[in-house]
Amino acid sequence: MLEIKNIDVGIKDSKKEILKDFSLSIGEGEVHAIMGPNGTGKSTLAKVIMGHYKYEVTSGSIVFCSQDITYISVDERARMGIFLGMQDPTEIEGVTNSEFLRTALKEVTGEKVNLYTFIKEVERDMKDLKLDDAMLHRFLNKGFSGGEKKKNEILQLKVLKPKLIILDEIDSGLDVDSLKIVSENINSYLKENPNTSLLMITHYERLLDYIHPDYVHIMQNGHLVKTGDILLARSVEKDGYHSINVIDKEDIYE
Amino acid sequence: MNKIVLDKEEVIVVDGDLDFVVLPHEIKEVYLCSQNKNASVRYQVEEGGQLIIHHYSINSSFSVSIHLSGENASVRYFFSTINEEDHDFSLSIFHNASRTKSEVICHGVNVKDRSLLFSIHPHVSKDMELCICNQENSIMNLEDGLSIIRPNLLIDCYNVCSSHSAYIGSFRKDSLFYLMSRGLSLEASYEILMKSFLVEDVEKLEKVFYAFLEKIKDL
Ligand SMILES: Nc1ncnc2c1ncn2[C@@H]1O[C@H](COP(=O)(O)OP(=O)(O)OP(=O)(O)O)[C@@H](O)[C@H]1O
Ligand SMILES: [Mg+2]
Repeated sequence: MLEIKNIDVGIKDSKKEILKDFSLSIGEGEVHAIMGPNGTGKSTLAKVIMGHYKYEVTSGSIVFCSQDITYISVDERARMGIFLGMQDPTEIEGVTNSEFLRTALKEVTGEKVNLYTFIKEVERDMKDLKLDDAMLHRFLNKGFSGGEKKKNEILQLKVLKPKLIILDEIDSGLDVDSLKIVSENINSYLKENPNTSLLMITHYERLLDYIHPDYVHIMQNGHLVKTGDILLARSVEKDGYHSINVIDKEDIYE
Repeated sequence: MNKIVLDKEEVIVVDGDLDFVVLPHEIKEVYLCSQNKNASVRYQVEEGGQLIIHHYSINSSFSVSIHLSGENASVRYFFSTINEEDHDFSLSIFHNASRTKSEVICHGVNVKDRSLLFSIHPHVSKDMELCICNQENSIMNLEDGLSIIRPNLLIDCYNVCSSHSAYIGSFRKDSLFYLMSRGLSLEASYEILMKSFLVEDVEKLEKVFYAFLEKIKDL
């Protein structure tokens, strides 16, 4: 489904390089998790897959559903079925959540959206997420609490029905109960849409106890240094990244 | 398009200069649309009267004066403009009695590399105590337009509560990225941002300002 081949990524109009010779392959229906210390480029990776304007892919390619998307626009990627749940969702004053969601749904499906069925479905989705109906009529993310913002990202996902979901620290800002609710919603989405792939970025193994990954990757200094399963996440939780680093270096020098 | 709708019923065509009076304790709501028209309007608000103006303009220059002539008279002016030529909006508010109140919000989108000027002057003379005058102005440039905001507060009395803010810039790229990452095209993203910036309440104003909403779509 997603094939990232040896990409180098820098910041536009600057010499700073963030991702170096980065590769990752995600198959249909697979669940991947990426962990790594602060500032290693995890959010950059997520935004580059989405086509963020600040970053530039200087070599390599990103292929999604057999189509090279390295240089296509953000909205096209979204319409192809890529969804990025952001670490820090943007607040947009003046645009209501409902107007935004309805416009997005219209653009993604290319069809007119019936207002009545739309409202009914969104209200059901909001109930699943234990989000207050009133949030629908508030300005997009404006004044939302940290947890409400994250739940609102999941609401959008439920409405837009993407094929590849990227969640950047969806667990940060969620209390224990909310984390459980959000995880249940994601799990049931994956169950209903078994071909959907998921890439989670997280600092905590706890999220992976709720949403079971097929692969866990460790990212350091702009590329993946190790791949394993949930046990790898547990050892990071217990001993920190330092232990991974040592093993990795030994591997290299052997 | 060039018309004034009073309290959503009475329609007056804008053709030349206009004069309105709000009688004591009367509440008057004015919807004013203007396109390719330059005009002056004078309003007078008497004691306890309330004037609420929704002014939507496309390529128009207006000079407006508002005289708050009795105690507790108040005005709320929402001005919204789409500009593709050289235009200016000039508003003077005379607080000629104590406890008078003015609130001004001016939003403009400057589409091309032309000039757009907002001059907002509240005047509060000596002895006009406990007046309130607030203004918030912003202009979004879509290209390299010359946009200027001149808030001149001519306040000659100590006992006045006043605030003003001015912003000239462009729509935030982060907002565009967020909208586009959910599948909205660049055009649809701009449209939704412009609508939210220029229109107070789309549903309420749909009938009166149809031409204005259509213009946003065309940009
Ligand atoms: N627009 C930018 N301008 C300058 N530096 C940037 C920009 N975006 C990212 N960086 C830098 O690139 C590096 C990677 O940032 P990124 O946000 O991808 O890290 P991260 O792995 O997501 O970290 P965290 O775990 O703290 O969220 C950091 O050093 C960051 O400061
Ligand atoms: Mg991050």
